[in-house]
Amino acid sequence: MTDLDRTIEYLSDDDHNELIINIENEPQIQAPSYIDRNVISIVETAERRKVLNFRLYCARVGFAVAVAILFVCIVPLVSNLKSDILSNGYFAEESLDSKEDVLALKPVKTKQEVMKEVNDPGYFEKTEISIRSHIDDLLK
Amino acid sequence: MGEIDSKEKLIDLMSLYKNLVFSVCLKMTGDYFAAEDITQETFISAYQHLKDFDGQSEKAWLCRIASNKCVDHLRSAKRRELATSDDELIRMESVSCGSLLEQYVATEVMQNFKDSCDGLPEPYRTPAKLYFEEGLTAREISERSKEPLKTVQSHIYRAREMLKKKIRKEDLLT
Repeated sequence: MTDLDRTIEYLSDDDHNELIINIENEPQIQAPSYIDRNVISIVETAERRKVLNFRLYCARVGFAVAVAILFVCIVPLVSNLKSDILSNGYFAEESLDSKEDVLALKPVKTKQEVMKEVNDPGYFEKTEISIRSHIDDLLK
Repeated sequence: MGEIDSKEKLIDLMSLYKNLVFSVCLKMTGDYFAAEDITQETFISAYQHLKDFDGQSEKAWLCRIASNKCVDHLRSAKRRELATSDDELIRMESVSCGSLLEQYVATEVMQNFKDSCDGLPEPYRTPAKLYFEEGLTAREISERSKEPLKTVQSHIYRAREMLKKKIRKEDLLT
């Protein structure tokens, strides 16, 4: 409570009763008649807004539930389709060459052929020339 | 309690205690328009809390809501006043010394309001008197004076603004 609130305090029960008695003893004052109309109109507007908000809330919840049900229905279908693809082995059958086929296409030298080539006296010169030509190609 | 029951109860409460609640507000605030607003707020608040009411004394309950709202109004009015004036201490003391109950006489406030209505220039005076004093609706005034409804509504609106300014200016001067 602030200092200001302490200076204007709520009425005690005694003060309150005294206030009512005083007012009832004074000549009666007519309240404006439009107060009734205003109050009823404010209350009705608030009620209408409350009903509208509730309907909006129901629509949102209904939409969320519908989306959830849709997910529940769709997700198993999608996962079934995925497992079908994997189990049917589409990728395995799809034009993948065997190891033997791949190796058969490349000429593979035997150990003896390689040793013979290395023991050849011009081998190092030939190798050097081929490396240099590779480097030149790369630099170009 | 159903919605229709609550509304009927509210209408009953207003027809029985509207004048009393308005008088309480008038006596505590000394301001016709503040009293009008607080009276409306009191009945709206009563309607919202009708379920919590113990059913003992409707009169005391409504007057308690009204008086508490009046105190809240006076506090916020005082805060606004303090925010704009430097002599706050003097003002605060004057409020704490005087009793709230003896500040205003409701009939005098009403008389001042009626005098202010009489002091309005035409074309605002007649619709203001019919609306505020005799309690006619804008439509009824329009039918009686044979003026368009929109014109009457705008006259009432302007009269209200002029009265507010006039009454609050007089309050400040006194």
